[in-house]
Amino acid sequence: MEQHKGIIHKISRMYMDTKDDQDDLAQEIILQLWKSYDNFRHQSSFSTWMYRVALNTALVFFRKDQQQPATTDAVPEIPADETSHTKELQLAHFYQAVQKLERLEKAIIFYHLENYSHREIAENLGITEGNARIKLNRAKTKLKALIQQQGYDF
Amino acid sequence: MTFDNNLHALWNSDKSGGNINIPHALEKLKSAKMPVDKVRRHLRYEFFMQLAAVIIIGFAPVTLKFNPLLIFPFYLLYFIFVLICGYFFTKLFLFYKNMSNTALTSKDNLYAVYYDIKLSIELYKAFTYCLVPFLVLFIGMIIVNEEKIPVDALFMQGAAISKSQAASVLLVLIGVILGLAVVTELYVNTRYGKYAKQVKRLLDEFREG
Repeated sequence: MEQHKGIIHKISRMYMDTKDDQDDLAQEIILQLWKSYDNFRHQSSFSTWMYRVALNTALVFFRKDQQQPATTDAVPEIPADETSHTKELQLAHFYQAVQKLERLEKAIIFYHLENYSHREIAENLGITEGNARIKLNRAKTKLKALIQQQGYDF
Repeated sequence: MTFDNNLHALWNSDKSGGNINIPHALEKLKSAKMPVDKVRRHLRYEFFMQLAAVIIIGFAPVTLKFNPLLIFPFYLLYFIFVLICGYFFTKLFLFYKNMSNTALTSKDNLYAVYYDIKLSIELYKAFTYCLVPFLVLFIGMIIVNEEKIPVDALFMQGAAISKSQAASVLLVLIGVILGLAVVTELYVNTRYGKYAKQVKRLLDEFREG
């Protein structure tokens, strides 16, 4: 699990916008992974199994109060003085835009970024391949538009 | 396509996961926000409240110094009442011990979650409705006892009750039961329905098209 903890962090950051919520979600994912480790029967690779459990946890993880996430439209404040900070800024923009996607779209984008094919995405989510393709394209377009709306482009 | 490539490059460059620490005492971690866990935890809490009420009711004949004629019917009813509680108790606590397999495909997992939430809610409702007739009878007995109405006279005069009297008793009963039903439905819906709705909305996202 140690070597995959970057994944837990990324998923938490995609699904929750505040630091506290992200930490809570990461904890929950670790707990669920631990609880369902018995179900991991080596018929799939460890990472596939782990992605599934982590995303299934994130999908139904709702914050305490049921208010809509207070996503601000303000550009994240990160000093953009050095080139190493451009990456940070880009990432901040990316995660901020991702917050506005639907929960399923986030999962699809995640799998896509982890280099899963349409078929693999479909298999893991339990939808058809065609549906996965349509939904991925839609999510990508939406994400691009959202990032542009934030006054950024890459 | 460049957007896609840039996104991938950016994604792979995100190495900020190092600050997640995996706790060693995993047993101590408590699931906090999974909807099924939440619903079930609330339900269990309420169940304990109801259980306390059941136990208190069991002492009613002693504390209220029941007419000896009433004691046997009271405890006969109480016995059935406890049996029903026991049934729901086992359902809520034991039946669910080994559920949740989060390694299913996401859609299957969501259906399982949805089903569990719905089932818990329905179980709770069924339990509440089961208690209503007993409570009505128990309260009736307590009234008879408190008002010192002779029990044998109650049975004798039962045959002599007029139609309008019977109708009014029936109407009051229907009113009470309907009122309780409305309160229960509203309460359950506002308190637990939201979890079911959230998951339902998610499932709708999985639809084709």
